[in-house]
Amino acid sequence: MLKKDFPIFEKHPDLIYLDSAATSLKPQSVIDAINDYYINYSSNSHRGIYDLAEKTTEKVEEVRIKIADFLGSKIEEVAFTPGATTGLNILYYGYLKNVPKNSRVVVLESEHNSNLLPLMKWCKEFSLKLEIVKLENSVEEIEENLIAFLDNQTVLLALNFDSNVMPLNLNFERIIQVARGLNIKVFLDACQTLAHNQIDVKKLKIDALAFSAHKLYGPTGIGAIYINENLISLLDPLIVGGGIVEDVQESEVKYYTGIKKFEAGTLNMAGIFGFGACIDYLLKIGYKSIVKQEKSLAKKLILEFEKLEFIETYPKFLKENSLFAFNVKGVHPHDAAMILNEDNVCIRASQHCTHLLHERLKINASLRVSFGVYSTKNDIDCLIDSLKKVNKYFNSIDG
Amino acid sequence: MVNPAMQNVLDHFKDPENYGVLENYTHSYELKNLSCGDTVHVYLIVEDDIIKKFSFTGEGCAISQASASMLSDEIIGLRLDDFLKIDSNFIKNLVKMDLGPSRLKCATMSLEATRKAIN
Repeated sequence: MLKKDFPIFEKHPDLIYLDSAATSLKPQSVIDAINDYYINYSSNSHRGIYDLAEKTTEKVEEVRIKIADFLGSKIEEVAFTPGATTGLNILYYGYLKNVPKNSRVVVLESEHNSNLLPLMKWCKEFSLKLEIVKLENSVEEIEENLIAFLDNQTVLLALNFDSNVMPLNLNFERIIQVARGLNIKVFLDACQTLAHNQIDVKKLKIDALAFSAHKLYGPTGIGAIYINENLISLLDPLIVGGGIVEDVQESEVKYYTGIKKFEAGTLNMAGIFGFGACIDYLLKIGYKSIVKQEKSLAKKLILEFEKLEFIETYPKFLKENSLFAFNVKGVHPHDAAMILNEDNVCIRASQHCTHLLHERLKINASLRVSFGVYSTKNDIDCLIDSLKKVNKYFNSIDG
Repeated sequence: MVNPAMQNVLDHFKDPENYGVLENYTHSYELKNLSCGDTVHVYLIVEDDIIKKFSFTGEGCAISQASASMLSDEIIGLRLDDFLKIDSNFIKNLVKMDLGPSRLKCATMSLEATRKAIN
């Protein structure tokens, strides 16, 4: 029972939290690490030369090493960011600014707005052609369509590794292999992946990746980017300021040439301490155990959903993933979530920042259940009971 | 058992008051909530600065539609300057449910649409 690791369940013992894809709950070890910074360090890293500041710098760099090990990258390829959205903006601005005009960038229409909107903005800004691949027909056809868009005019393939609404389970190895054969850079948004599956950036042969800590049991306001060492010099920093320069003259600014040029301003050090602790926590549990537990929960949820004729899922045939989008037929998702809330069942109800996907599905909004390491079969039972109540209230004549 | 406030919302949602399009309306406005696709379209007949008739149509969550129904009962016969004094607290008191910021946005759609129709 991992619920005991999460103090929020002491304060809210009846909490049924099924919204971990929005943000995961925080274990005590992460909270302790954040407090450790404020109580025992509380100084700025990479600046002061007194002991306290030097210790903070050492600790921040220890976490950078931890993230590099976690991703299978080199230490010099990891930068801290305030989160995935900032990270993706840094990556796309930096890279797309210097590619030839009219080049093509390929993305899927199921992308989260954190990935899609920076691409739309920077492609427009730098006169590039953004190809948004439609989610038509089967996964195999989507994969073929995606690959068909890759050509020698394409400079970037930029994808969510896992969707935050509708997992496609694409064959990434194959897609990346095709992209690399055409010398197309591959950048991934791994926000929905790393709490459930590890990514080795070298084995997967990707060029850049962004993620945030708060979806992997870490604090909000902190994330990281990986950029392949051969690419770093080609990217201009989006945000400039203190901590990223070698020299400043009135006529010229000499920025760092390495990965730290993307870390302007004071770092979120408390967040970084918590970031380190959340990676320790994840690895302590182990991905094998996480996947086993999630598959078992997914199996139960799918079976339960199949019994309920009033549930409509997206896609129709579910696979054993960590998140599920659906609706109660004839009931607005806000209304369903409101009834669930009365039973302390927390799930997401909206477009989940995927407007294009919902347009494709021809629905205004949907409900989403997502698992974390603290999720249990009892949580699913409570969810199902509550959904039956929703159906009774809204769909029965005397409800 | 559904609580009384929720039951009231469900009753208004399933069988709303003043639902439909008024003939010869003098003012109208359609408000959309882009984040969830909800719509509330209000129709008014205003004479001598008094809301003589009010109706609405729409699609969306129970709170957005039920609150329009509840509001309709309250504002027919009001002078415009009295209507303009109505705020979100008035809607909260009508709905009688604990509404967070997101739900309050749904609950006040008809109020906002009516204000825009008048302006």
